[in-house]
Amino acid sequence: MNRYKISSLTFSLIFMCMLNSSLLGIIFPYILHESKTSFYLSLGISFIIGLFLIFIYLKIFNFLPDKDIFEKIQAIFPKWLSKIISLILMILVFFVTVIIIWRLVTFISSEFLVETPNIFIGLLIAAPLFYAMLYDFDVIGRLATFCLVVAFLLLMFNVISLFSQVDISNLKPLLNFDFNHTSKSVIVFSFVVLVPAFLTLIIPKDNIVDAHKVAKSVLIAYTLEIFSIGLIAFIIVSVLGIDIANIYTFPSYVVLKTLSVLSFIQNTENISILVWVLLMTFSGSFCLLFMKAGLKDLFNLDKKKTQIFSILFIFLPFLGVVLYMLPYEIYLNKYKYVSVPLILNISIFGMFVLIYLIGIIVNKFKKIA
Amino acid sequence: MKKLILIIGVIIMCTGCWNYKELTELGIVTAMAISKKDNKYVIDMQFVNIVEAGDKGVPESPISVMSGEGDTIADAIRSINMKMSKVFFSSNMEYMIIDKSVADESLEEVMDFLARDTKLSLNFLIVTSTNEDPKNVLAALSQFNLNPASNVSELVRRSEGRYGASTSITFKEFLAKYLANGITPVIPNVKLVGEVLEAEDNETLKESNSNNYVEVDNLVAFDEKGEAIILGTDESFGYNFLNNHIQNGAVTSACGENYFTVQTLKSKIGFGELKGNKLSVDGEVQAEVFFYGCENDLNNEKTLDKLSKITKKTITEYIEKTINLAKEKKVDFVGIGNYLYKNENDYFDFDKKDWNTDGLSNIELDYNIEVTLLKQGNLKGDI
Repeated sequence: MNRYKISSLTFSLIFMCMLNSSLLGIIFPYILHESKTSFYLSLGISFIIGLFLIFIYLKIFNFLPDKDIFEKIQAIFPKWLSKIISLILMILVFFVTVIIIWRLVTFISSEFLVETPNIFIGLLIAAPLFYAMLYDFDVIGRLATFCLVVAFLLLMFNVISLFSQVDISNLKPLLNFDFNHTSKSVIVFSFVVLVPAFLTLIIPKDNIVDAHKVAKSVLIAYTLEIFSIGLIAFIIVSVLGIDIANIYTFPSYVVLKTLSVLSFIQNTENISILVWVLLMTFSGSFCLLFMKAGLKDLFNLDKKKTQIFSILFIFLPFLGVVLYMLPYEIYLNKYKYVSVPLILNISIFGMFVLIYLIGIIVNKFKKIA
Repeated sequence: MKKLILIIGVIIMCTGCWNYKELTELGIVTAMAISKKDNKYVIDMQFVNIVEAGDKGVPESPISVMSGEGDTIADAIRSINMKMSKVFFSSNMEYMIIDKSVADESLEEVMDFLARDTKLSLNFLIVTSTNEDPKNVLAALSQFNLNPASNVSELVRRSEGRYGASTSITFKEFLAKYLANGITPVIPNVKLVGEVLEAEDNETLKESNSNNYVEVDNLVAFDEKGEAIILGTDESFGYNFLNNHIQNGAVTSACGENYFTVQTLKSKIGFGELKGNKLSVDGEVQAEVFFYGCENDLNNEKTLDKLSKITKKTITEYIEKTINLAKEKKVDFVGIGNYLYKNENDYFDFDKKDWNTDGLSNIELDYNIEVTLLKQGNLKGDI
């Protein structure tokens, strides 16, 4: 069992940060493209489906409360099978991490460090990720608190500054949706936003000081997050109009370009956009820590030297793949940036559910035996 | 280990300084014009001369205008680097002139270029110059502002809010209208008064009664073929009233052989309910008496009522003229189609039919505009 302890508040903040991992370059452009001005409807349905997913999440979380997800796998399956399942899970998470960080780096390189070679931007982002891997989940919990405080302040500044430009008529027509487009955006939103937060299952329930409050904290965090996403989408559409929001890859960045406070605070989009840089970097760090914890559980790497080895074992291939993918933004821009993370996240979700269901069956058999 | 990580971290953090440019290396673009000649794009760029203006003040021209030509807009811009050693910095651009020569199908390429460029902001103004080579407008100096680009953008903004016959439109608003269903963007027209060469000359700035300056003219919309539809003063007022762009606009009406002027304090007019083909135009204008040259006693309540009714008629006529022009030219620059698309989605199939040719002419309008006079200045009545 891991020795660190965190509070339910810190846990829910980590959960909330993870919900932001794919919003910038994946979720916002996709749901605005699919749902257009009916985005609020997609968001509402996604919220309800998300509650169902959180219910499943809490079930898995409460199952074998002294164990993290990899230890749960080991407890349920035979040793050889548990190693295979854990490795598959880690590989899936590996690619989710690659996509999060790849999207962040391509965003930075295409929007504000245009002349800096991609490799340096990649290294710039990789440095804090590597540094975060040296620590444990209690430290990253504190990082989550910092990220969310800064994100909240910047979000409030952006919303208040842009509020004067809100044009409610841009939200019309209110109901221009069809079942096909709405259902697509609901599915993508529910899985791509929520499943990365499932990776918090790496923290065993018993490591949370006030574990009985987790369900409530997670639900509050989730509701606040959906509210924030709705607020951001509202600002994007009402300020830019759906037609402009639709043509840009990063509408949440473009809307900040129109920011003008008292006619003299302008061109502050590169500061305001730090919200996403922080939250996506945090998500990447957490995913890498997830894999590090997986390797540690899988191969009993308790010594410090072997831990460094495990960090490098994950980090170097990760960095290699991200740097390799950087020049290929244009090829992945259209829909693969949605379909690939969707498939990965559905697979991860499916694995978690299967592990839980098999775990219950195995437990019942053990009791009968 | 930690020190090593810190050093690597600091080195990597310096990537923002990669390929950095000193201020003196930058050509700060304050305004730009896009036009087409002989099927080639022509770009004129106005650069601010920071060093010269800062050291010596006005005696040297505070701006330089450079031009480039190419098959694409990008080619035309990059060709300026053959004549100029600076790196272009366009984030602070004040306005862009879209010439009538690119207002046809070329406009899509212009929009694509401007929207794609990551360094441009979305807040610069869009103007046109139907009677003038755009380069002349860019080259003209201003007596009121060392930076002529700021002068033009402020001119457009002021004349919109305080006079009412012009309108300012940012690139964001222009692009939104360009992409939206049932609306064509309207842009202010600017022209050069006086002689081109004199307007470009620094000596002009030394005169107190210069006849060479840039002036905001009427509003313009372009049809699909790039033909300019000029809105007269009345139509421009009508357009601005309908779009609630007027803050303290002056409305002059006749009272017999004389005139009176009211200044708007608050104006809110918009489309309302659709009944059959009849769309209502509802609104309220609050105003104060700004100039009174009529004979009737302004102390009399009935006179005030009468003035309100006359002003109401004037404003209604402005709007009516604007809509009639849109119908006549079959170009919906007023935004009736866009209003119906957003609010009465079933009324017209915007995906399959052309609103300008098949829908606009069928719409009739019912005007319900109320004018209330709230103040009459310093005087109790009239002198």
